[in-house]
Amino acid sequence: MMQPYASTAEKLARFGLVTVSLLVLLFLIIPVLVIIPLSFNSSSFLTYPMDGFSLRWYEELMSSEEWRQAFKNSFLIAPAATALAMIFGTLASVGLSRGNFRFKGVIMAFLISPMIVPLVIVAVGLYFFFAKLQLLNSYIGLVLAHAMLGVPFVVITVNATLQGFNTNLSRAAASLGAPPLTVFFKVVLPLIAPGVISGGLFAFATSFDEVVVTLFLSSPSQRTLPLQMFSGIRENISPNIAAVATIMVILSVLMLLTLEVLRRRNEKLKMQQQ
Amino acid sequence: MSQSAVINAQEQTLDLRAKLKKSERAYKFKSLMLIAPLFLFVLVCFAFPIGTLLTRSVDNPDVHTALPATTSALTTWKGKTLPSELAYAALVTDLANAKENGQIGALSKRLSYEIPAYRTVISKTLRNLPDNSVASKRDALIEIDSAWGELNYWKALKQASTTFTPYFLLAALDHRIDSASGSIVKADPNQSIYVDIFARTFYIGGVVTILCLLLGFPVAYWLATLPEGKSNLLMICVLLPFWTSLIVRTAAWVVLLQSDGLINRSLLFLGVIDAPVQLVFNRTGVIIAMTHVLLPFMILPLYSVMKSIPTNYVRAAISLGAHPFVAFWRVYVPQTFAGLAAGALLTFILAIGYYVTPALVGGAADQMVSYFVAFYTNKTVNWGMASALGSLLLIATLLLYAVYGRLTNPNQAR
Amino acid sequence: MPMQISSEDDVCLLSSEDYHVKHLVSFKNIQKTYDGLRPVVKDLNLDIKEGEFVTLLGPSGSGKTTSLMMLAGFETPTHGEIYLKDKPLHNLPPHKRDIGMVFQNYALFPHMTIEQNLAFPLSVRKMNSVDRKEKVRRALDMVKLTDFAKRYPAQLSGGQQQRVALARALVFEPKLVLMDEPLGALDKQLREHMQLEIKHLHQQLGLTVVYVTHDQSEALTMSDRVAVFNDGVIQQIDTPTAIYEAPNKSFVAQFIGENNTLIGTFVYRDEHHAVARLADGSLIRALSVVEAQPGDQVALCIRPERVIVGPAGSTPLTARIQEYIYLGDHVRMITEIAGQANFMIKLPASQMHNSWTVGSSISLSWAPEHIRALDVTTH
Repeated sequence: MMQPYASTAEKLARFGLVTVSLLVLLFLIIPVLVIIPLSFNSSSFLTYPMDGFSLRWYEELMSSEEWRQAFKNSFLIAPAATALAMIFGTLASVGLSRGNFRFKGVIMAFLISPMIVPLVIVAVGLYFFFAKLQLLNSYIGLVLAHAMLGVPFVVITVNATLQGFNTNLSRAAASLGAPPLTVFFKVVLPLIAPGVISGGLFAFATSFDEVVVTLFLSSPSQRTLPLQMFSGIRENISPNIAAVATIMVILSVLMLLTLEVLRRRNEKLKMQQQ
Repeated sequence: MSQSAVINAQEQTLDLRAKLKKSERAYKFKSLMLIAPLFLFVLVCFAFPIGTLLTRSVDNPDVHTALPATTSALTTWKGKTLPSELAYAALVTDLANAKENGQIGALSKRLSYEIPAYRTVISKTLRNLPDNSVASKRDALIEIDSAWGELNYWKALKQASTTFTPYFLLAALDHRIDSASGSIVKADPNQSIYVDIFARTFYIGGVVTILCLLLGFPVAYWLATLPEGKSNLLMICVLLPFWTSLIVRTAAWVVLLQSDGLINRSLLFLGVIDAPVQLVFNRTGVIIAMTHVLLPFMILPLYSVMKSIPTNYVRAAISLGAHPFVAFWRVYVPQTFAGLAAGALLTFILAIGYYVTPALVGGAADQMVSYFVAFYTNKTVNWGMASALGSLLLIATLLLYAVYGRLTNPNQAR
Repeated sequence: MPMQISSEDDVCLLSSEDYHVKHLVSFKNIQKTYDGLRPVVKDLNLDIKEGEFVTLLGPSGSGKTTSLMMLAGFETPTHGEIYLKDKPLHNLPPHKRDIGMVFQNYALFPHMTIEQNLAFPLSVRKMNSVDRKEKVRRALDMVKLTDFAKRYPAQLSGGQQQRVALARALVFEPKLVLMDEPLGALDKQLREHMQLEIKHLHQQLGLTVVYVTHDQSEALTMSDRVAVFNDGVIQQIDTPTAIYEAPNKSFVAQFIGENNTLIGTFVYRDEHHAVARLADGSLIRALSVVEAQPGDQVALCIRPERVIVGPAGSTPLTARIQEYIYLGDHVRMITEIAGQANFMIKLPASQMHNSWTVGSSISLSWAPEHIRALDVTTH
C-alpha cells in the first residue's frame, strides 16, 4: 500500500520493489511457459527461434510404445493412489477432529510425516521392505507407496476444512433423526467435500510427479510418465520431452483452476455457516 | 441432610461419573477406529520401512552368517596373540561352506571394507583351501597367505563379525574403528568423501534458501500490499510453477540453460558474452533450478503471514513519528520473522533431500546426499552405506523439522 | 499532570508575528473520493479549538473515519485544505505531524513489550535513554500499568491494552490526539469506565481530542461538541445537549436517541412556530426549523419522553395503544396516532394508569417547544 505524502526516496523504494518483484515473477513463470512452444517446433532442436509449426513430436509420442505405456501407468497408478489416500485421509481427519484426546498432536504429526522425510530415504526403505514382501516391480506396491506419499496432503486439507465446520450442523441433523452414517454422508461430507477434493488433487499431483520412489520400486514395464521423462532427459533431451511437458503443464493449469473454484466455494460455505 | 441421603448422593455422583467415563470411552474408541486404518497404513508402509533402513545402517550380517563357527571361536579371543588352532580349523570349514552357499562375494566385500587386501586374501585362500588331512590348519593357512599370521587381519575379522556395527555410520562421517587399536580414527583420505558430501548438501541447501529468501521477500511483500484482485492474478505466477511437475520444470531449465539454449543465445545476441557459457550440468545450474523449484515454498508462507499483518501497525508507527522506512524496518519486518524462519526452514529441509533436480542439471561434483543413497542402493549394492547416509540425512531432517514445528506452533511461540 | 507540549516542537511552532490561534485544526472545503465518482466526504468545513473534545459521530460509511485519516495524513483530500495551527498540511507527511493517534484495535506492536511500545515514539525522535525511561515511567504511571512494563501486548486484557494504546499516543506529548473507535472492542461496563478515564485525561492534560465513534451515548458523554456525519456531510455540529434537545435535521433527531416522526403538510408560520396538518386533519403547532412553503411536507419530531398523557396539553390528540411494555422504572407504549403507527411514548412508572390497556384510547399532548418541524428524509 502506497502511503500518501510519499517522499522521493519512498517512491524510488516502491519502484525498486515493484521492479524486483516483477522480475522474480517472470523468473518463476517463464520456464514453465517457454517449453510449450518448443513442443510444436518442427526441427529437433530444443531452442528458439523456431523453424516452423508441427505436431510431429506429439505424433511420435503417440506412436511410441514406451510413452504410451508410461501414460497408461500414470493414469492407472495416480487415480488408485489418490482414491486410497482420500478414503484413509478423510476417515482419519474426521476421527482426529472428534474432540480432544491425548497424543492427538503426536498422531497428527505421525500421519503427516511422510511429507517431510526426503524421498530417497522413503524409497530405499520401501525398496528393502517391498523386496521382502515380493512387492517390488508391482502395481500394488507403487499404488501403496504413492498413496502413502499423498495421504499427508489429504489429512492437512480435510483437517483445515473440518476446523471451520460448525459442529452444530451435525447435531442438528442428529436431532432431526438422522443416524450417524446418514449425518456423515448427507451433512458432513457435502460440506467438507471441497477440502477432501483439494486434498485429493494434491495427492494426485504428488503421484503424478513422483520420480524417486518409482525409480526404486518399478521395473521398466511400470515406468510412469515422470520417470520416463527422467530417463529421457538423462539420455538425450529431445522435443518429445517438451511435448509431454506441455501436456503436464496443461494438467497443472486444470488442477490449479479446480483448486481455485473449490477454494471459492469453501469460502462461501464458511461464510454461510457463520 | 440425613446420613443415608448423603451416601445416596455420593453413589449417584459415582454412578454418574462411571456413566460419563463409559460414554466418553465409547466416543473415543469410535474416533480411534476412524484413525486406525490410516495409522496402520502409515505404520506399515512408512514407519516400518524407515525402521528397516535405520537398522540396516548398523546391521552387519555378512561375516557372521558366512563364518558362523569362526565367529563363535573368536568370541573369547583377546587379540593379544594369534587365535587358537580351533579358530583356524573353523575358518577352513566355514569358508568351504560359504563357497557352497554362495556367500563369498558378500563376505570378501565386507572384509575388504576393513582391510582392502582382504579380498585377495580370501580368494587366494579359497583356491588353495587345505583338506582335512592337513594336521595344522594354522600352518597351512599361513602358508597359503601370510596375512593369516598377522594379528591385524584376525582383529579385523573379529570386528567385522559382530551382529551390529558402527562401521557404516562412522564411515558416513569419515571415521572408522582402527582394527589394531580399537579406537575411532579418521578414515583414509581416499575414503573420506562423505563429510564433504554432507557439507556440499548443506551448502547448496543454504545458498538456495538464502536466494529464495532474497527473491521471495519482496514478491511476498508486494503481493501482500496489493488489492485482492490484482494479487490473486499475479499469484498465478507463483502457483502455476508450484503445481507444475518438478520434472517438467527441471526439463525446462535444461532446455533454457544448455549451451545453445535460450539464455545463452540471448546473452550472445545482446553481446554480453562472446561464447556460450556453461550454465547446466554444474553448480550454477543446480542452484538456479533448485531456487526456481523451491521459491514458491518461501513465497506462500511469507505471503500468508504478511497478509495477516494489519496495516494499522505501520500507520500507528508513522503516527508516532517514525519515518515510513523506520516503521517498515522496526514494526513490519519483525512481525514477519516467524513466517520468514518457517519458510526458510521448510525450504532448507526440502532442499537437502533433493535428488531429481541435481541428478538432471548437476555435474558429478554437485550431487547431494540423496544421490549417494541411491547410488549405493542401486549401483554398488552397498546397503549398509546407503542406509547409514540415509539415516544421517533423516536425523538432520527430523531435527530441523522439530525446530520448524516449534516456530509454527502458536501454542509454543511466545 | 506533567504532559506539556515541548517548546522545541518544530512543526507546530508559532513564530512571534503569528496572531492568536483561535483554531487548532481547520478543515476548509474538504472533499474526498476514492473512485472519482462517489464522494466519501463532501465539502467538509470544521474548525476545532484548542483544548476542545470534538466527536465525529455517524453511521459507518458516513465519512467520519476518512476525515480523521485525512487529518492524520493517511489519506489525502481530493480537494480543499486542512490547517493545523493555521499551517496547511498538504505537504506534511504523517510522521512529521506530531499528532497522537489511538487506533481501532489499538495497533500495539505485538513483538515489543509495553515498555518498548511506549518508548517507540521517543526513540524515533532520538530522545536520549534517560529522558526516555523517565517519560515511559510517567506514562505507565498515568494509566496505572507500571507493573506490566515488561509484558507483551498479548498478555494484557482488552482494557489494559486500550490504556497502553492511550499512553503510547500521549507519551510524546502531542497537542492533538485522534481516536478512531478506541473503545469499540471493549464490553459495555469497561467502555463506560474508559469513557470517563479518557475524559479526565483530556481535562488534566489540556489535550485537543478528535474522537470518532458510531456510539451516540459515547459521543454525548465525552464531547464538548459533536459533529453528526451522514452521507459525507456534517448534518449538525453542536454541544451534546443541543444535538439531543434541538436537532436541526430529521437524520440527527432519528440517529441520536429515540424519536417520533409525524409527517404533516406545512400550512403556515406564525412567529417561531410552524403549523402543519396531519393526515387526519388535525393541526399541529411545532417549533419551525425547516424552511418550508405551504403545501410542503414536513417531519414533526418529538422525543418519546416529551409526550404528555392526559388532557392537560395545548393540542390534545387521541392515540390508540397498540403495545404496552413495562420496564420497571418506566413504561413504554407504542400507539397509533392520526393514522400513523409506531408512535412511542415513554413515561415514568409512577405516572402509569390502570385504564391503559392495549386497544384503549388515550389523549396526548406536548409543549410546542418540544416538537420540531424538520426536513423530510427519504428512507
